[in-house]
Amino acid sequence: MSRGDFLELLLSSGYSFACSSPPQVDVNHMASITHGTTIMAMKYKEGVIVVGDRRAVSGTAIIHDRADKVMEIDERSVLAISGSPAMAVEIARTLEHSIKYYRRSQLQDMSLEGKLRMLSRLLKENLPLALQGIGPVAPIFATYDLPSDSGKIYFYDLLGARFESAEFATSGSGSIWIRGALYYLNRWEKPLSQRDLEEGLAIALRLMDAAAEYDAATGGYSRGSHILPTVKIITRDGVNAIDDGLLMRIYEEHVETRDV
Amino acid sequence: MFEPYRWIEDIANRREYIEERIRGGSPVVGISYEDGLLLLTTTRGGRKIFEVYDRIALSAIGHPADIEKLREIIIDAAHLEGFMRSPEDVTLRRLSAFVLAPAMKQAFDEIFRSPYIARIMLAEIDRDGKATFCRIDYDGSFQIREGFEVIGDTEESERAMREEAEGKGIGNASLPLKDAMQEALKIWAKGKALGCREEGQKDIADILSEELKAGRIEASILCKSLPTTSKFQELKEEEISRILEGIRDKL
Repeated sequence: MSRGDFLELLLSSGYSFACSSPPQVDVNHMASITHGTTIMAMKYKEGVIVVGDRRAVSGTAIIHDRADKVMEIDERSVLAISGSPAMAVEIARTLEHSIKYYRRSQLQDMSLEGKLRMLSRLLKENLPLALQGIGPVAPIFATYDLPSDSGKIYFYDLLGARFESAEFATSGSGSIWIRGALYYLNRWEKPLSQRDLEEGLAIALRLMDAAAEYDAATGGYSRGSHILPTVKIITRDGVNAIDDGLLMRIYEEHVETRDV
Repeated sequence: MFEPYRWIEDIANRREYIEERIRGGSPVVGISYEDGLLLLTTTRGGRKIFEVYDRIALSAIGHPADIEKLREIIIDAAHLEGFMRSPEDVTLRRLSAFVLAPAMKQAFDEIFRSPYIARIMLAEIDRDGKATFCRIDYDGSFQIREGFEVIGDTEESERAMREEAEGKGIGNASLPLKDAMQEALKIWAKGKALGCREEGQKDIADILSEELKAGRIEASILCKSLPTTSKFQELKEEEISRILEGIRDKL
């Protein structure tokens, strides 16, 4: 405990983070494993907007349509998860617990660098499953950094390598369809970090719609079942979930309606 | 060669030794208020009130290194349980009865190892802000109470503190924070007064000023209406001073 390392405590108590011996899986028969997503983080004037779709698929079957892929990690950080939800949720939980454990046992907050490093370590622990192709997780970590008074976005690859993104990041099976659009908007129209909340939310919902249009594994807005993407914002004041009422209004005014 | 009568004598010596070491420590008062509970004590150096889990806090009187060791044990246990099972399953009752008390009793009974020179108070609020306390003594005996609890450096100081609280409805959950602080300070001063070896009746303001020459008031709350999942908050010095100014003439 003198190091305040929760992962170490877990492992020394006999907990096995990933499977102790990775099962030999034929990736052609991966149908029974749930995957598929679009997640996205983009800066705006006051911080960061983080969005995740709600669908979880396994092969061609839709397993769940109300999955929450944007998880609050601490007061000013969220983790958006793509890939295998089982391992991703485990990683998010461990990260959240690690940050609290560190604060309580060491009597000081973990630094941002420490949190980012912790996430890398957890993804590395997940490596055997990721390499097998049955538990890959490529998350996006978004936070509001008080010392620099700005939002920050980091994305990770399957092996835990971390990349900081200046303006936006997207991950998951649907991300390839919207990455170009984000680049276009940010480069040739008003930069994302200068947009206010309503503009930012409008862009986010439009892009999620586009991703759902092309990627079967990404859930779009379902009017009948009233399922909207999960949208959370992070500002100096903390993490806030955008309620369905506001999302609906943005949807009606900016997604169902054209600009011209 | 193990001699049973020798063991009993050793245990009695242990008690005396530990009581002697604990004497002079600053009492800790735990009291419920309208939004949760308040823990109050004074300190001459390091912290004495700690966050254990989302709704659980710890304070103690005794040897700082032993308190540190017990703090480690309970925080580790709480976090392992909260992760393996769920945060809701981490409760004061389980932590005191199944983690701390057995550890402290074992250390006390085994005369070939050193005991924990500490008297612990655990505090917890539930979803409605109702306060529960548990005091765990160095020999592993523990007691759970609701609304109000104290730990003092001697039996006399604890008795004096409980007498001060009796008949006032202390533990009544509807006190605003500054009133709870006022009551807690009065109770604390009663406990501290008995620890003062000097003669004469001292009033609360005197006892407090004397203590504040060498140290400071440390107070923390578990507040049900905090927006974060963790309900623990350490009251800042400015905040404590402000409340103190407002009630100084009432002490």
